[in-house]
Amino acid sequence: MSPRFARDGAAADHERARDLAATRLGEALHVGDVAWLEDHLAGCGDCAAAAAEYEEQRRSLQAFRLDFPEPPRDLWARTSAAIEAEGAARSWRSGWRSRGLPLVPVAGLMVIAIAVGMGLLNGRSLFPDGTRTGDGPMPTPINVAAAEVEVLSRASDGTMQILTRRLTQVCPMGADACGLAPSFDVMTTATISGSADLAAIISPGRDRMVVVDRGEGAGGVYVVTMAQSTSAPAASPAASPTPDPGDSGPAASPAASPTPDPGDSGQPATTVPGDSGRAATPDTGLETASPAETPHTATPSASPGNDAATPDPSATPVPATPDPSATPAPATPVATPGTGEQPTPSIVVAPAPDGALEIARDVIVLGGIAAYSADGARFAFTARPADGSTGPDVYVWTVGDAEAHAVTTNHASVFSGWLDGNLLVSRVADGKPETVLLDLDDGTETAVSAGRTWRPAIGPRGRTAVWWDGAVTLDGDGLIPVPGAGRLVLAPWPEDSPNPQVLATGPLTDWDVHWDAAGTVLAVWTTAGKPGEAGLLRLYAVDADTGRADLDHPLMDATAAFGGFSLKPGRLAWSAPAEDGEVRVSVAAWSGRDVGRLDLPAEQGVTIIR
Amino acid sequence: MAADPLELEQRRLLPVGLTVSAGWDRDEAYRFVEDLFGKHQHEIYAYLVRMLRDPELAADLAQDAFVKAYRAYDSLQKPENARAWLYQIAHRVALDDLRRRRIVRFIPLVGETRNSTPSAEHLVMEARLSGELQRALGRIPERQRAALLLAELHDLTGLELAAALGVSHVAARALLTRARESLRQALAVERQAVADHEAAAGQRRETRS
Repeated sequence: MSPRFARDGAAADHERARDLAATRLGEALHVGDVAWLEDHLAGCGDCAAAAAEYEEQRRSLQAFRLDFPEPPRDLWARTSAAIEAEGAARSWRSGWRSRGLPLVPVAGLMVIAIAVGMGLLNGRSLFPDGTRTGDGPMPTPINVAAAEVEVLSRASDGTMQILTRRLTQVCPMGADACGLAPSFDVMTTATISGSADLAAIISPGRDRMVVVDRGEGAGGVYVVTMAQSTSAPAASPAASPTPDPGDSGPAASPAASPTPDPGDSGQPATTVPGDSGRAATPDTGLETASPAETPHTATPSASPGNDAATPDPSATPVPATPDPSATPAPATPVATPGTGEQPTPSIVVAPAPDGALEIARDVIVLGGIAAYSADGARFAFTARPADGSTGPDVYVWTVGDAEAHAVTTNHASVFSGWLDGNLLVSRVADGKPETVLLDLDDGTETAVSAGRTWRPAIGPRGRTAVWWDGAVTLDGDGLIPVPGAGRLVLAPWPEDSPNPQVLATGPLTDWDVHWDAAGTVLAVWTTAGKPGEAGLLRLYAVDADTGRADLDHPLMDATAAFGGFSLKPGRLAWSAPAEDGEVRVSVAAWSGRDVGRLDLPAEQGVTIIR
Repeated sequence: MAADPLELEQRRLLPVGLTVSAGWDRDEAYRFVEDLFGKHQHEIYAYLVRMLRDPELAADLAQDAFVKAYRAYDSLQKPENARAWLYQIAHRVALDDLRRRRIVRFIPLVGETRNSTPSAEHLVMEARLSGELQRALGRIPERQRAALLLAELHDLTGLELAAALGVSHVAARALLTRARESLRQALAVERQAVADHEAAAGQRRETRS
């Protein structure tokens, strides 16, 4: 053994001795450790002294054990009053921010003041008089197809809440208020820690949620198992069979027939053994993908579907022309909509006492493009090592696997989307952008474009797409592909159109594009700012026959929004900067071409669940 | 630099501890917190006083902790875990406040107005808890301080400590071990400072005489 190793070994012995000496104060050591420690202490005066000091400090601390200071006599009165105020806060008629509790500093409090309507009011509306406080007639709410918006919100106590707003009505565009409660109406909770910079993507079957923790520097990607239940909690008045008349309008309207997500249909609560089993044994060591490791050919799974080619039957497309079959909003608006009687919570976070599954760690997840395959069997994202040693690669996690695997190795690839169960990967090769279709089952690649096409988002019918038409360069450190001069275009796919529609012109630093399942609604988010800054979100109707968007009459014109919006059948949800650094959640929903909007003010730490 | 195993452990385990909450009953929550308050108010308040060294602030945050418990009472799956669960809430409340004050400290216009003039109660408390041990505790990282206080003064078991700190049992044990060593070193610093101070005072006396 070299002298250097000998020194290191001695240092390690001293460290081990002090660890054991400290540990033994709280719990019994293994027999072998006891013997080793005693032997070491006998020959090491410093360690023996340290061990003695540990014991002395413990005695000193424990001397205070019974020295409990007396709490103020009015502590319960104050607490009780604060709890009462908490209850009252849930029925504010206007405003929606959580307020500071009396005498309590709440700078770190990011919990949203929410309306858990079903559990509190026995069927009475939380907002019997609506939210409008100004003069004049109140705008008429627009009936829309039933939809849900879900967000993650973190309280300062670490509780991660899943807040759900069920929509059957929204306010007309441009109206500040129309009597609808600006609140969420369902809450489930989960204790999830992480940074404030999260992204959350729920699986098509709603049985899992991927939480991307972008962190400060290094982040991780976690899979949280979820279950679904529509059974009412026994102790909750939510099960009250008495419907709230104020919220019954949409149910009576054919235009508002519920179109829940496929997985939100009253299945009994379930968990996914594949995940929970792994999550239950975290100490066995879940190996995570090395960003530079050999490409992984994913195990064939149950025919990953084509999310683009399989329209969601529950979708509510927006036709290019007004749909005469669409039921118009009732002539007499419902005066007291909002958070009255609703179905019971549809999402229950399944118990996972030993943890979510961490499928990638020490990585920086790039951009907002991360998605499940249509069948939910796989999840893809783009990441680079947290140490910045290489550029990005595309990672895929397959349900049942312990970790995500890099499926590209050139360190200049980004995930562009799913197509027929295969990956669309854009990459820079020899200084030029190209996009390939990667078959995960056999690892074969098929070139789908070359030259100026970057990150195509192909529509559900496979006939139109949005892509970056321009240069792509590598950024300052020469590792991350970034768009240069060019434009974001919508055009028939494959690229054979001489006359593409220009959605945005460069320079852009990022964008995100989503189609509805029928390919008749297109949401486009673009930004020229830095990561974390707001960009602009637009919503267009797309003609099903021509594939062209009605750019002159957008369903929603440019609206400030953070990345990570969510487009689901009948609604678009996004978060946006509000006053004082807060974040507001907004939703646009439609029925036919009637588009409305509802703002759900929030505080910091809100993440739209996509 | 090699990653800290403890931090890795926490990063791996922290996004966990998922609990079910499908409903929320106001009256039940109130009764639950009322009972919890009756049983644990003294120790929770004491813990916060020891963490924050500010009785007035500790009272505010104790109130905050019980309100949070009210909000989240249905996330408690096993009543027998209520005490550790409540400590976890109080612990997070304390850390949040400490972080906030650390930020505030760098903003002179906001300042630390709250504690600019110590209350009489504060002074009494400081006297009661003063001494090199208290000062040394104040020198060590907050999470380590919390671990020591919870384990040694509040008598939490290993599993309870892990739950209160929101980490795995292994991570809690490692944190506690590090805390003991940190406190040992901090005590050495305190003792040296006292010795230096006394030596300087003696020198001044000699000079005057």
